[in-house]
Amino acid sequence: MAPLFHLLLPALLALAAVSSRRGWRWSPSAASGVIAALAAAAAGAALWSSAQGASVVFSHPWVAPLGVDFALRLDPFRSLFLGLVWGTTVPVILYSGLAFRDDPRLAGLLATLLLFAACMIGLILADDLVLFFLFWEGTSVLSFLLIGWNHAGAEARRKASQALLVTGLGGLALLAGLVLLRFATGAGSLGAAFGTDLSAHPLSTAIIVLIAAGAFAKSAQVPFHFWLPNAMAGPTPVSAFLHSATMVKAGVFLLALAAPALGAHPLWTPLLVTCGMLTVAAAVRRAWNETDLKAVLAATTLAALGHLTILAGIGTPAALKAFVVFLLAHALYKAPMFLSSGALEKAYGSRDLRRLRGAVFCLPIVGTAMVVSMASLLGLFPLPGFVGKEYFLKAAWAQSPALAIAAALSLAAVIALALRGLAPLLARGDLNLPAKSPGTALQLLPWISAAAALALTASFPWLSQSVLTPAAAAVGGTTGASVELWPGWGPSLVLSLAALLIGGVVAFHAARPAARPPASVGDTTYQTLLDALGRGSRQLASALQDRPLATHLGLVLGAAGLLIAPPLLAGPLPLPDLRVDAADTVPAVLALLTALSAAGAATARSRVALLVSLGLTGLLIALLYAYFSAPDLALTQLLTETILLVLMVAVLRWLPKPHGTPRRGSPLAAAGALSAGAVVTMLVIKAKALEFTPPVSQFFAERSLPDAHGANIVNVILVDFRALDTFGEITVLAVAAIGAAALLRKRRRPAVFDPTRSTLLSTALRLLLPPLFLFAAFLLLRGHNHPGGGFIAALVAATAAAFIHLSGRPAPSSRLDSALLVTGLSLAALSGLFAVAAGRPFLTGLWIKPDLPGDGPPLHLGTPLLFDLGVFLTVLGFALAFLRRLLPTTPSPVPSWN
Amino acid sequence: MTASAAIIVCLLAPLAAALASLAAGPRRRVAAALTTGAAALSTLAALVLVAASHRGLIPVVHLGGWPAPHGIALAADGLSALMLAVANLVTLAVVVYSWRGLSGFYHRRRFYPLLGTLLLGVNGAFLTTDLFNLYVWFEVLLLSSFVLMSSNPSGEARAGAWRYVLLNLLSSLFFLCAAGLLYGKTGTLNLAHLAALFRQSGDSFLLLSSSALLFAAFAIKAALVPFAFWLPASYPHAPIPVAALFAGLLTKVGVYAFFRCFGLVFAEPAGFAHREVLLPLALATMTIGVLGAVAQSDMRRILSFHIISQVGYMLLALALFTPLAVAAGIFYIVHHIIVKTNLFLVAGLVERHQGSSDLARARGLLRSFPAAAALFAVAALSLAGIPPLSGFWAKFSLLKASLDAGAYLSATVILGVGLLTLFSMLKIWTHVFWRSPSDSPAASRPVSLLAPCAALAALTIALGLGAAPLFQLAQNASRSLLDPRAYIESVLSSAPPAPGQTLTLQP
Amino acid sequence: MELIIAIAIGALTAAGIYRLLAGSRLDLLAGILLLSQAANLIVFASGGLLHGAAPLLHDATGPLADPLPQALVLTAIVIGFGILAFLLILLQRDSDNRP
Repeated sequence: MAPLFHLLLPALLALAAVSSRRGWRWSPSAASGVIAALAAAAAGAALWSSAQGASVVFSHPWVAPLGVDFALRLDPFRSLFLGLVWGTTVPVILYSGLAFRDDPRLAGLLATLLLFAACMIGLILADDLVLFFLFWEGTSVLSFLLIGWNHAGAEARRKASQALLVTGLGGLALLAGLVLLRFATGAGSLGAAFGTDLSAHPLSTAIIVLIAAGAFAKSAQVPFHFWLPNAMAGPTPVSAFLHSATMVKAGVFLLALAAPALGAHPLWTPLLVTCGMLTVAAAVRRAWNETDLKAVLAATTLAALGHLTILAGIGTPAALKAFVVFLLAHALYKAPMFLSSGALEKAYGSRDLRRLRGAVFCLPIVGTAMVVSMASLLGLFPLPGFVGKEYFLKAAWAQSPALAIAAALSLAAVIALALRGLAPLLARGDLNLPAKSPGTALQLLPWISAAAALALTASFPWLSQSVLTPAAAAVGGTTGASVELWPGWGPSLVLSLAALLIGGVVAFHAARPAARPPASVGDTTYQTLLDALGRGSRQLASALQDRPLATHLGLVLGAAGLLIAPPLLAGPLPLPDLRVDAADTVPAVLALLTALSAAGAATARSRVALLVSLGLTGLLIALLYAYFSAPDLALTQLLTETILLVLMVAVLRWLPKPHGTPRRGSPLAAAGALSAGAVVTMLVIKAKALEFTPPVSQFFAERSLPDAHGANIVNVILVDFRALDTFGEITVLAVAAIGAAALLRKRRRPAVFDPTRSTLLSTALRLLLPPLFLFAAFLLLRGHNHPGGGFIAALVAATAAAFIHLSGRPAPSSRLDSALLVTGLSLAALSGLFAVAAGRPFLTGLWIKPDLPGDGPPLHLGTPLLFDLGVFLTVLGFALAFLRRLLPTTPSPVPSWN
Repeated sequence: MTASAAIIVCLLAPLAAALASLAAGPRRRVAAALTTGAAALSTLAALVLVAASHRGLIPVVHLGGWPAPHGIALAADGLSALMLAVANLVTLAVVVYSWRGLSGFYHRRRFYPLLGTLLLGVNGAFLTTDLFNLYVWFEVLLLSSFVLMSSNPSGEARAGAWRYVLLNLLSSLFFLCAAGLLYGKTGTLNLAHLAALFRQSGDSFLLLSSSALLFAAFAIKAALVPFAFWLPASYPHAPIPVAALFAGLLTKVGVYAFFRCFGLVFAEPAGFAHREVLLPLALATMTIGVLGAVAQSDMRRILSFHIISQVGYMLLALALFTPLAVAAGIFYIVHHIIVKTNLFLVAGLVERHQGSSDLARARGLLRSFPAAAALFAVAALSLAGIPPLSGFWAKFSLLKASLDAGAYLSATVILGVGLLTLFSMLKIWTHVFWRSPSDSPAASRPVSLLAPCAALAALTIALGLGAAPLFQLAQNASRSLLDPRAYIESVLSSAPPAPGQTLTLQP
Repeated sequence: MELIIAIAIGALTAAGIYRLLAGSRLDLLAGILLLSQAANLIVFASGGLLHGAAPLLHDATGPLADPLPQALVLTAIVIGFGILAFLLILLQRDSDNRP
């Protein structure tokens, strides 16, 4: 239960923070005090559990299909980290409450910081690989929000984005590494995965590279180091909390956990040690001429992370012991330094070290804390920093003397940087009193945290026995000896003193040019990459997108052709039947004429020619359908072609002529079209060559008359066997009609002539109409057994309606169209529901056979006929909607409908 | 509601809504109420079907009483049920949003009736087991969406709408040819029957040209590169509820068709070569889509390009074709529909508030409209694959599937594109939500606009925190595709009672 | 015989694509119309090309033409009709709105 408690507590505290309001008793500042107190208690609990030495695991299945559990583990190593996080939370929250007392966003800041703490604690405690990643990413996202807290400035936004993207990139690499790790070990938990020796596994190189990439991104190691100095753009508590004590430690935390399993791999030590060294060098180089106090502190943090990486890289139990000590030491001296810098900034209104000359003497409380922490950073006995450095050098020496010397030089560099950078604070001279006092509490905070560090140092034996040694054992295995304050005489002491000496000498004798800090190579590279990405993507998008329609059509057709053509051309081409019997003359002629008129349609220049060829093509195809035994089809084709052509003529009559001469088709288009035609021809020829099984339509021939009571099988298919297809089809027509009503609200076009002036035409129309409507009804009713049916009937009726329209009679209101559509579709649906009421599936035909007098053929009436009626009404409504809107109307008043 | 009734309700409820809204004419509230009720009803029906599939059933309705493959059957297996549930749910959210979120101009362009027919087409497509019937529903879908898209009279919108319809008409033509050729060769149009036939015979030559045509048809519909460029031309110009619906549904119907036909029917080794063709195309789609998104400077355009990129993910899952990969793909589809619709609705909130979704003009919404910021953050993080949201599980399972299968290039592209997705979401956040707010008069923020977004965001979080149930459903669906014996049996069984019985009238 | 029909279909396809790529709205319409004719013929041809064997059961002597492709093509024709009609509406609206 303990791990769960540590995980949930910060979330609850965040809720508490968010519920506070300025001006209430429960103000954000008051809340910060309470929260800090609770956090301190939690820190104590963490250290106490470390002292217990036991390892607690809490596990609950989470996403079982993917093998992910909600598993937490608390062992002494993790307890140490936990204690560090909680321990840093206390001063950070207190500082925020004090320094931002009047800021309206304080509650939000506290809540976000606490949510971050929850994520960080989750990261530390997570035992399942995926859960670990979850908290890892959570810290990245919250860090983004916190760095960009003052997002009004463009630089803050840029830096926050940079941090998220760099850590995000690392995170993705880490995810891949964790998945591979799971694959390699078959284990889903960190403990199990890192418990085995993986150095010989084939995937281990990839795993190392990926995990290292993730860890390096998080802990700002080379080549991902450049985001950390930029992250200082956030408010001071954020920098103190995330970017020096907690989030950045997550990477080295992972490396330390991984070291026992992967340390023996030949890539591990060189990779980590090299990058660690380079990071130290980069940090020192970057901050050498810095005048911003926070930047100098950030650089020393970065260097410390580099040292921790080196230790994880060495990976021996001794190195991991040094890791633990170094970690604690760094936390103990860094926190007061950040808090002091915050107090100084409040006092002097600036972080520029030139303005802060001699501040240590002007604000003695803060100054004491600063000096003590600096001493620990420099590694002076008997402060924790000294112990950390000693063990560091010891572990390096045990690995190889050369490494130890390099390590000592890197320590010297950091010492030099710290001395050089922070020297102005200690400069004696004119008294440089601050503009305003930062308040007692704010000054006491660093002092208290420094005092706490000293207290812990004073109780070093207890600390070592209860915290450090168990932690070292938990991560690296026992080495036997416990951590001592005085590690004894030896090469490490010599190197340590040498480092101090060299660093001091360099610091005091290095020239002080007024040079600006050098630009960060990483940052510049990052920005260049980003700009290139932007440019490249814009070019790509515009190249692909801003193209005329023909290009996209051509692209689609070409790509489709590439898909279709190869298999077509691959197999043998069956030789087509080249014999032409006498019986084949008619279809051959029709087909040839069709091809010719298609060619005519393709090359027609004027609209009239185009329409004529289109009409001719349609007619010829209808004749082909008729020849090949499809009467219903031929009728439908004929009627739709006719009506379509009429509508086209109506629209095009009034369409303005295109400007200029009609564009001649490009040769490319012609070539493409011809090759497409060839492909399709081959497709059809080849398709004829094979038959699989008897087609399903044999069923129709057998059952159409007995069960569906219809002799016109095509119609029976449409209204009974496959009625749902027809249903969808009339829905399409209804949608088209709705679209017509939606888009063409009003339409007035003068008629070509006024038909009422011609009595001959009016009389003819009046005479034709009743027979036409009767014919339509006849077609509807006979459709089930003879060519005819709902569509054809409706189209005939629509033609009649067109005549009415053209005769100049004002059409009935457009509500008739929608009424017809609604009635038609409802009728079609209802006809299917009768079956449901009778316990049958939807759209099943129910028939009645009324007894007729006489001896005629049996009459069957059924729901499919209702369905056909529904089709009729819908199609009629559709046709009316279009005719009304596209055909010309007369402006003059005319007699009414009847 | 029994499962068979639920199937019919899924078809009839949207139809009834469309017809009733049409009959209601200009009475907007009546139409809104009817459509909302119908969407809720069909969502309920879909959830009944999901529950049935969870119990291992495959409800089938043999329409007309005719046995499949002679008649048309509607079946709700795991995949269809999931798709139905999520599609109807987001439609419900969009309908609620459009109470106040759609201007009267578009309502007068028959928005509710068209939405009803759109939903009808979507539901029909998910339920049908017949290839030609699928074509018909695709046409319903196409024309409904086309009319909705054409209601914007601006020049760019019109050009975009034409591009949309022409490319999708080409898709329909390919589909039609494929159906015809397939019928000519196999004598059947029923998907289950085809699946059974192809699993018996292994003659791949027969299938290659028809399946290539189907591939092209669905590739256009699903916006696979290089067939995808109708999407960025048309989606940014539709009004927000319409765009949200399209973003969530239209391309996913194409993806569904891919899964159904190339997962069920043309499964390897009897069919079209998945890996050789679909894999590189999917990778290209993911990359080009996200690069296109990175290049844009308007929120809607960014989101439109993201659709293309994410479709690549789903089809990559299909291309990998292991049980885990297909399950991951199905999970991805469900997650994506919810998140994409939500993102577009939030973009609508931004537009309402600032008058524009252009990144340069909208600013500071974190301060002035924190609810929108929170909703956007949830949806954007989910899209980018940040745990513990649903998008993470989608990407994680896909990553795992590709690494397990040894597809290292795919894994790299998955991660790289994920980073770029995060990058473009970041761009939106830093421009629209950060920066100091401009002084614009505060638009009203009715609950009916925020509630659907909040519901969808809550769903994303719930699916993230509790991914197990959905993943199990996805695994069931994947199994029913890769081992379709149960599906084939259920659909092809001649269980229905004898059709067309004549009742004698009492004199 | 199938060859001639196949050539006709190919010609329709080529004509349709050529028209489609020509660019103006009217060309697009014409192209789609031609291409749908071609597609319909492909579906129709898949059922076999029989003469004088209309699928009407009372005059049935000998094998009947396959009614299913005919029904399918009928559906496709009507759907295409609806869509093309709507495209005409668009054409009309665009010309109305043109300045």
